[in-house]
Amino acid sequence: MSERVKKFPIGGTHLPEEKDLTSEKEIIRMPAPSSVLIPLKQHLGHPVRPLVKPGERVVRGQVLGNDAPGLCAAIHASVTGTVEEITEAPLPDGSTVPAIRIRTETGAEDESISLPPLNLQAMGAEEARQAVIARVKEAGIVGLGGATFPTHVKLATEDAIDTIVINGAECEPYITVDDRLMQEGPELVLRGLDIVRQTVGATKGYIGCEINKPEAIRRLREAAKGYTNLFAQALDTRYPHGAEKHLIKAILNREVPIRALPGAVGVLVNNVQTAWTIADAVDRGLPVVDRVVTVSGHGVKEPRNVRVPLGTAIGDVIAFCGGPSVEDPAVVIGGPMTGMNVTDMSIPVTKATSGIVLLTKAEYRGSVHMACIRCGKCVEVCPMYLAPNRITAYVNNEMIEEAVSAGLEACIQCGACQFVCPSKRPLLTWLKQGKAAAVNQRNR
Amino acid sequence: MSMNVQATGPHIESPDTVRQKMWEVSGALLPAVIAAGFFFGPYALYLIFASAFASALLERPFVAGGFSWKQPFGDGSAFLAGLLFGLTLAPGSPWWIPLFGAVLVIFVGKLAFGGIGNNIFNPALVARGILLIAYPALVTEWRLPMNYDAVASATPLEGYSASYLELFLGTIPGSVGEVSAVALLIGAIYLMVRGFVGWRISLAFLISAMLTALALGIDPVFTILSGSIMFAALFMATDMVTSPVGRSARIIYGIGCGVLTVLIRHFTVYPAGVTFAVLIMNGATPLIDAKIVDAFFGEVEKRRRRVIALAGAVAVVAIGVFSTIGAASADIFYSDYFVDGTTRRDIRLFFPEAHAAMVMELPNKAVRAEEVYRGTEPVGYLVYSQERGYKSTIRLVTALDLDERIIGMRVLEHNESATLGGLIRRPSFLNQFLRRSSANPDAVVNDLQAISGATVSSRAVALAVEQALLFRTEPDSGVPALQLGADGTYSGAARGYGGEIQVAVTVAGGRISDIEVVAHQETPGLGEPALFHVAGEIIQAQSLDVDNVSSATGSARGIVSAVANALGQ
Repeated sequence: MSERVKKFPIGGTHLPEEKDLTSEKEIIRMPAPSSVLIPLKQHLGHPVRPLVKPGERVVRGQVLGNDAPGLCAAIHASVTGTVEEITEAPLPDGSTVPAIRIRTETGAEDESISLPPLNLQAMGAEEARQAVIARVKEAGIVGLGGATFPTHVKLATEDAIDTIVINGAECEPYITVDDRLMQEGPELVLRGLDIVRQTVGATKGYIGCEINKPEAIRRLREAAKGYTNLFAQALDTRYPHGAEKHLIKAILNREVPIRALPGAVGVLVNNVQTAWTIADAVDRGLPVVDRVVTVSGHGVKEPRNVRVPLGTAIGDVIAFCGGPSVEDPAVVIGGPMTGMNVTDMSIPVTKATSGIVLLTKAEYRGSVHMACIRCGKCVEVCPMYLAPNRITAYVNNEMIEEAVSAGLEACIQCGACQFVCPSKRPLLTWLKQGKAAAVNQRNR
Repeated sequence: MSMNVQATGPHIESPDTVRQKMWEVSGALLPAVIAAGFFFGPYALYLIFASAFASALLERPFVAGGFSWKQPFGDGSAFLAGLLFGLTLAPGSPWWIPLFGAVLVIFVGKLAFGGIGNNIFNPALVARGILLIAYPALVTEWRLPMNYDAVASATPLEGYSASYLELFLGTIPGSVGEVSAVALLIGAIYLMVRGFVGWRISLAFLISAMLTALALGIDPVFTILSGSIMFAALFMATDMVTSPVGRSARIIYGIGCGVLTVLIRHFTVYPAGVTFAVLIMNGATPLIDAKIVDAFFGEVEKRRRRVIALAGAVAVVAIGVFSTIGAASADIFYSDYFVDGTTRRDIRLFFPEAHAAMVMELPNKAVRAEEVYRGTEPVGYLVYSQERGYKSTIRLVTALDLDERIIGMRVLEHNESATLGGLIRRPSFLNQFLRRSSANPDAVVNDLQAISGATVSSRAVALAVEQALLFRTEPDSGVPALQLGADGTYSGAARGYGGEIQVAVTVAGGRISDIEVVAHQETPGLGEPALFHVAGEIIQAQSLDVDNVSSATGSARGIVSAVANALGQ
């Protein structure tokens, strides 16, 4: 296998990494908080219908809902306790979704239920495929990198897939979830990758990992010696390597056509934690009841990697990490590039929550922007080869059609342009406004 | 919240700022500023800094926030524009030119368009363009470098002769900040390493200028080392505000700059073609940016089609250029016209109204004489002569009017000592020969005012001038006749540039009748044609004392030695 460090060829930028705050810190399990608020939609699609009623006792691992009139994924209880109410939960983007509040029962921390392990070896190929897809669905597995696309739908693809790529690039600053998982359970990640590979009938599997995680790469390569067709591929440290099309371009030099999915070039991409949970669900019958969250930033007392029961309020998670170390830090859910800034500390941790980053005033971006000096830095870093300065000029002049033909809708909203802009122009904000305007215009 | 937060990311930003960019680009010009001070003295530094500081201060009252003592020079963009303008000034410009230029830079170049980020044209070039048209004499007061007593000179583009090395180092007359290619390169490489300036514009500019020069039969290396091309390609055309941002767009823009520069230089009266070329391309920038859009990530099919189209276009252009070169190759690589890239310009320098020159067929083979025409009417003569000086052959061109009186001259090539012998290039020395006439050629040598400490070089120039005046005279026996043996064929060999040159010399009737090159290893297209050229000259002059081909001296000397060897001389 190739020892060469790969990267996507054009665009991208090097961000401050800040990963050493947590990359050496082992994942610790956070004890169940006194209550959790579990949103019934933690996936791309529709909220599931609740299967429990207020006052009912639920056990950790018990299904709370698994059915909706469209795309959905199962939701499980993350603690053992009593359903208090069916209410609304706030989400980072300011919207709300139906949710179930469970009061934790003291003394029942170890009580949980799981599914029977699957013995894939004893099954034929098609039977195994069906079994894995059904299990992934039952276990409520979604893309845990943040996109939360239901994984069972992805695995049931009709495309001819020859290669599986596990996304361990983790290009956002501060976040070390995948880094820790690859260090602590490389064999589990590889096992998940192998299950996916067999399920969709692919021949090869890669785990792409930026070289700022040398220990993870070393351990993955050590563990991959047990397989002949699974490889760990080192990637240059460059944002946004975690964008799946760019990950594919970097590792396989295949370019996913615009508006198409990776399946068009025979590739299926999954996140590291997703692979891990697939392995857990198949071999140990564990549903998704908690997820690993990096709590970091210079605004938190004890930066940590924490395994958090889903539905725990972010305020509780921050408190578990010693609380803020400065007055009024900016709390960002997700990474500092694409995450959302929030003030409501009751927002629950969901399957989408990869990190909680507390930024100090010094770290946070300024608010004054200057005239564009056309330095071209945004064009240089744009991984989609767009000219953000020109597109945003169109958007700001309400020339949406021109903006669209200049590539507005190809934007993947990575924010690299805004990060590098020396005039500090809020390019991504304008791009998002432009995209919304373009959708409005089409619907009119 | 005590800080201004946005709901959506990115929540962090890079530490780069406009201010820092502007000052770093200014800093990258430091080597050029130092070179200017070194070559042209303190007055050059006055020109540069007067324009830079005046621009910076002039802009302050008109930008947001107005003047403040905390940041007297604001974001540095005005300072940079002024600095760039100052570096383009001729070392002999009057004291008020940088100040007036600063007014043009700021008010016409920048503020008229709405300030930073909005100007269409490079402010420094706007100012330079206006001054070039309004005060052509004042902004082209060139000076000899390393010589602070204000000796007027032509630039290499106007006929001053300089080697590639001199052009590269910058020991040539020219704008204060533009002469030293090496100083500019140091700054530009710093910027490229820091990621502030891309390579696309500069490289496309230089390469397209070289190719255009080749196609027109001009020395490509001379083209990019002389005048302001290097400065413009590295610092003017790459000005962020006035150049395109796209990858392909930048290449197209650079190509436009390079081609236009050479075309303007060659076909108009402005040797400073760069200024207008870049201004024109500045004007085209919005169009280029809007129309030359790179295929997006994922537009695989579109990119493939474009690559094919581009390859086709490149092939067509390449075939065009190379067939032109093929047709003109003798002229480019080997004729006297090419020796130092100046011959054509000499015509313009001495006979501003002239169109053409024809080589005269004269019995005197010691010199080369050209009759200069305006239309079909002769206006004078250009005579190329040479004489051995203190340690090198001095070649010069003398311009005569129709009465065969000297109206000007220029040393084309010499390798005398830089300190004393080199003074023969100065007009103060050469001017003594003005108005000497072919009626009294002896006066040239007899009345010579030699440069003290360089009498041999001075005398050699006088002898060459005398030869020039005698261009119509039959050669005397000044050249020792060859002592030829009996008729027959003699072979000999000597070392050339690439290896041994073997010749077979045929003597018939007491004359060298034929020289056959039996074997050689000289460079095709350069040394090889020189061999045949020199052999022809030996036969014509019946002498071994023939012109070298300067672009292939090693080969030329080699064949002379080989013939001498054959004849036992």
